[in-house]
Amino acid sequence: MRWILVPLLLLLGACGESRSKPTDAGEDVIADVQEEVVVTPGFEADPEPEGPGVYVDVDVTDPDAPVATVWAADMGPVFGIALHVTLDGTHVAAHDAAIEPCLGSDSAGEAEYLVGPGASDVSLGAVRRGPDAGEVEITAPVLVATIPLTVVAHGASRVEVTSVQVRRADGSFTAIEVAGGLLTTGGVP
Amino acid sequence: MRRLATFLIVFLMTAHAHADVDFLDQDLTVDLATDPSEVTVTASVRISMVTDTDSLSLWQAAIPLVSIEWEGTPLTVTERGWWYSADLPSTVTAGTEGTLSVVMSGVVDCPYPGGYVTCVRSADLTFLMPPWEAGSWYVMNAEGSTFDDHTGSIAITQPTAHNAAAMGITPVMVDNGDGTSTWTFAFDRQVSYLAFVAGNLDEVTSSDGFSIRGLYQGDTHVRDLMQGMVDEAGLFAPIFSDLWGAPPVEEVDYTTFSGRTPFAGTSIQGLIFLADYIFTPTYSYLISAVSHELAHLWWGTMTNAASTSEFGFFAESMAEYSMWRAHGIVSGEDVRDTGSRMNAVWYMYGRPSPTSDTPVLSPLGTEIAIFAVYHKGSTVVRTLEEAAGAEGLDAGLRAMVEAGPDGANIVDFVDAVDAASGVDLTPYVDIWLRGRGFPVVTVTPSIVESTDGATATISAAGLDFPMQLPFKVLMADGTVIEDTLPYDFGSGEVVIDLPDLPACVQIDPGWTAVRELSPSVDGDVSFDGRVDGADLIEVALKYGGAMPSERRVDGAYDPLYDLDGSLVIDDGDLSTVVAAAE
Ligand SMILES: [Zn+2]
Repeated sequence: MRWILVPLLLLLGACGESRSKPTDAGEDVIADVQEEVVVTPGFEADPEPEGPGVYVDVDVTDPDAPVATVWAADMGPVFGIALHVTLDGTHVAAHDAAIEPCLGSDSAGEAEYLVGPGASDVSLGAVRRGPDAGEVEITAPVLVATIPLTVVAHGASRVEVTSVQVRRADGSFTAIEVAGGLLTTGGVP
Repeated sequence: MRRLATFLIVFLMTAHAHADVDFLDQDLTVDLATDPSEVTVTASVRISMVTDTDSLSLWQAAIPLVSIEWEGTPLTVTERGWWYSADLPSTVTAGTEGTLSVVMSGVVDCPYPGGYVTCVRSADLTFLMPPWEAGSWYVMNAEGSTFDDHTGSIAITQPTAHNAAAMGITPVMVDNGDGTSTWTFAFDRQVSYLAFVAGNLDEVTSSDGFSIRGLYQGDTHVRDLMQGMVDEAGLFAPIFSDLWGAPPVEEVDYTTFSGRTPFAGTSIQGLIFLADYIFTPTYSYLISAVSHELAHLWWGTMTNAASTSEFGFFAESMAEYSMWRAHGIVSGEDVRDTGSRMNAVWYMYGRPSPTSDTPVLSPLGTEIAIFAVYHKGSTVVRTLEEAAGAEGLDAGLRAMVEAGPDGANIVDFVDAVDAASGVDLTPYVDIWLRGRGFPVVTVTPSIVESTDGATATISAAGLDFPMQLPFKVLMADGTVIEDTLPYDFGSGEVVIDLPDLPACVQIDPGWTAVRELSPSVDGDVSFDGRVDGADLIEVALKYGGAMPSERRVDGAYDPLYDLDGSLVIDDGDLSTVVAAAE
């Protein structure tokens, strides 16, 4: 479920004309031509990783409460995943991050999960409980975590995935591509 | 109940001191064919008088004495406890050589302290070892402060179907045509401790490398284990030869042995006795330590220290170090690292109490010396290797092997390392070998992201134990960057440029020193300055490691990851990381 909302339309200085920009879905979004800045909430994701990757999506359905989701795909066998989601604290802040049981059940003793919530740096970790517990195959996109955001100020800022490491049960690393994106917040801060 | 004793080493003692007589040569015949429960030994000993002499002092016989003659004249014998005197017909003047002929026949009796024995005689298996308390199966000079070495031969007559091995000598076999064969082991090197095994023993040989024979009594399980051991020895012996010098034996022989013997393994030159019980599942972990005995051919036989406080270091610390070094060369550094960690951890946490300790340079023979000499000492040699470099260390060790029996000592070793490498190991010797304990080192990482990567500053502080700690920086793309953290006078620091933020920093992952690491931020086992998922993964990778309750058992225990101090790396430690990250 990834889509690209029309991001920031800055139509300045036009006189009496209509301009349109096609979306990925082929629809047209018509913006009024006005002598003012139009800020539309949205999230423009970086190109999705081709191979093993971690990427972020942000749902801005509620402009006052965007929700970021972190996804993992095409990793093959995984023993553990660690990453950080970093935010521009002048625009958004994180709270109540929730990690998903992407490597097995915590309560059943299969995996252990870590969430280190910071306003602008959320650390996430998922790991199998020891090499004997084996690895989990990740191919199709798997939801890793959900991070509700609070809007601090209008405008565009980067949402990044940083310090990603994906390791196998022998301790070796799987090289990972990451994709963040540009989040535009709107509404009333 | 069988006491599980440590692996022991019987060392070659060198030329006697202050003796009136000198044994030059001893030819022995051993009859194992006539009576299945008795042994008949004849000894022909060539002796040179050092001073004018009218009596010989000889070790008590393990087999009843039948006759003793000097140049054909019977001698009068007086029992004197662990030895006996044999009066010569008249005073023999200094410089005179003559032949002492001794016949012993009957049941063997080789007592060892605690009611154990060092000889066994049955129809199927005979092994005769050098004496500990009293009772020598060959003629031993009881004069002087050390044992009297000499050349000689052992000729064993036994049923033709039987096998035999002695002191790493390749035998010459002659079929006597009467259902018996004679196996002759001739040695032209100077030896004082003689031993052999003979009997209904099957044999395997090494597939590659040095010639190793493995003699055994047992089923295919025993055979397979023995095959693995001789194959390993076949590969290890050339490694030790290349590093420190070729051994004075033509082959190495492993043999199983049974009976009320006090030790799991014993090395007598090229003959290594392995108690049958180590082939049982309960003690199977000892199998992996068998090459320790092989290494005693260098550390114990080819050289040893005359000083009792240094003897253990040049025998046991070195044998243990050598075995794991060879494992690393043959199977990879990871395998070596497990041994180094196991030994360090057993010394640090296996001792009866934290205050119970002794320096590595301590005499053997006490329980605490096993912790210090075998377990700490072998890891300290690894520390010295990091300090002086492998080539520098090997130059020192080669000098010790060249110095020969009684020739090894710490001062000469340090000088030889210094000459080869320019590194003076004196502070290491003073603190690590003459002192007690181990350092707890607090590691403080500081990692700063830059435009073209990151700069890591790693600082360490703790007790003054000099060491050069290797570390690895693991990058998330699988790249590994290696460097060394110098640590001296209780502190150290290194700055290293990195292409990116590190996934994980591993300080001394190979356990090159007996030390405990403590991250400055609780839970930051990845040493990157913060507690996060990277730490969770590091702990999970060590999950299941547990402090063993028995020495030589590898519990895969690394205290760094035992965050809750439960001596097991488990859910509690994962939870500790999770809590620290919140
Ligand atoms: Zn030993």
